[in-house]
Amino acid sequence: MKINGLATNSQPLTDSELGELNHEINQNADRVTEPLLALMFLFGIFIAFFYDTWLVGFGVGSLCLLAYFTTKRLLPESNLYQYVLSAVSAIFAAQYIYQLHGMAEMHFWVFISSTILIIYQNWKLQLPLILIVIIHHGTFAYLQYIGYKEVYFTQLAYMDLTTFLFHGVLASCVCLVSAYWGHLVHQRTIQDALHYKTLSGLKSELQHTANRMNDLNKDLMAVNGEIQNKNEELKASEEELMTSQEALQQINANLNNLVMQRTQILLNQNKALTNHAYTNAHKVRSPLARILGLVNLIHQEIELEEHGKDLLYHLNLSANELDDVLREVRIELDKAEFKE
Amino acid sequence: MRKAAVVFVLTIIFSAIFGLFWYQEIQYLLPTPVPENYRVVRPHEVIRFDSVLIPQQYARPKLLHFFNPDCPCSRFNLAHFRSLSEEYGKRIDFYVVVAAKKKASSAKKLIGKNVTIVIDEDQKLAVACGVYSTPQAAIIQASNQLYFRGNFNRSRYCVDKNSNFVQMALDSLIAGKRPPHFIELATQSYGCRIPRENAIVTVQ
Repeated sequence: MKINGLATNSQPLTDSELGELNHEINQNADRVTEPLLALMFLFGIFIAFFYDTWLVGFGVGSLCLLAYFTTKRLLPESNLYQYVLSAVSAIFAAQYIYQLHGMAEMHFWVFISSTILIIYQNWKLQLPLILIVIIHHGTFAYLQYIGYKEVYFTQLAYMDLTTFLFHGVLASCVCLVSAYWGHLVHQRTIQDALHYKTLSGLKSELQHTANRMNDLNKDLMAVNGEIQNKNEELKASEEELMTSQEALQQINANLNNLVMQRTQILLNQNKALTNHAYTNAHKVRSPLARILGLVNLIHQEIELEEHGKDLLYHLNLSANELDDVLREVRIELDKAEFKE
Repeated sequence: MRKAAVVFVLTIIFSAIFGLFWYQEIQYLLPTPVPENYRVVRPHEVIRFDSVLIPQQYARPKLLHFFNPDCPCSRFNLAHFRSLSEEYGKRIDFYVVVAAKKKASSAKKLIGKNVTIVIDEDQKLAVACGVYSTPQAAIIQASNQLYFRGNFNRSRYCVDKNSNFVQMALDSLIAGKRPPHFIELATQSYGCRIPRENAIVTVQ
């Protein structure tokens, strides 16, 4: 079945659910019919005043009530008492007809009873009522129409075959219609119960889903809380990091300054040293040049022995080496100076 | 076990209901059994009755309504009887005949003050008129001859106007005609039996 476009898997009513439904119908119906039954008894007592029919009024009325309540008391789970109610309704109608000397209007009680019985939503309940009426009328009519004139039957002025047939057919029609209504109402009640069951199922499913959603929501909220905590932690960490970074930047800046200062010092020192070395190289070059000149003078002007020559040679060699060293130093110093 | 008990109880209750209807109505559907030594009294036959019970006079016809206040059938046609006594009371003497003294007061209550109640404890009147059940009417001419003896109506409740036998007989009597010939239902005795244990039957 489909409700609001949603397909649902509706299950038919189980036997126990049907039983419960019928029990509820019967209980509601009893609440209506039992006071009516009491009123029917009282009506019999009321009309007993007209022709002093107290014996039938009290006797038949009490026995009818006794039949109904005894059956209901002894077999509370069975619906036999409803069939008894149907039967005693017919008996009450006969009682009233008797009490008011065949007043035709008392036949209306059969119709009233027939409509009252619809409330039980059981078409079969019409059967005892109509059967008693048919058997009662039919028996005497049959006796009369087969020519059994001794029966002092006729209570009505005219009860020919046509009248009798109309009488019977119309009474049966009322019961038939009531039976059909009862059946129809029962079908509708079952359908309603089925819808109710489906809706209850859907409702419980929705409730279940809502509970699950609620749980999920709680979980999500918990996760969200955790994330928020983590976020706060991260923020705290970030702040810490920022602080650290700032500190590092500060340190870095300080270091840079320090390095620059130190570099500058070193550069200054280097420059001073280079200048010093350069100056020293120049200062050493002058005496060296004089030594080399002197060596050259000695070589040219003084005649030396072999040993002296040898020493002069080594002196000249060492002086040249020193000159080379000084030259290299100057070249290196020049390179360094260039680099600056 | 309970089902059997219910069936048993319902059988007893419905039998009792049937018994009540039988006692009050159904038993009267069939003709009242004819008592032994019953003698049919035919129209024109002279009725010899005790003048202590009913004053002897030859001026007006009489209608004896055999009545039993305890008989449901007697109560069925009370309204019809009252209408007859009102309509024909000036020309015909109406008497209500009960079979026992103890029934006189209740009969008086039901019938009313305008009609004389006659206590026929020995059933002299009933035997004389050939009546053995209630309700029945006996119309006696001024000459003490029986004019009509039978039922008020073929219907217990006197609702069938075409079978108001007593009324038709009274009309016929007033018109000075001969007693009409009715169908068997007019004279066949229905209703409650009048006990004849104490009856004084005069064999003629």
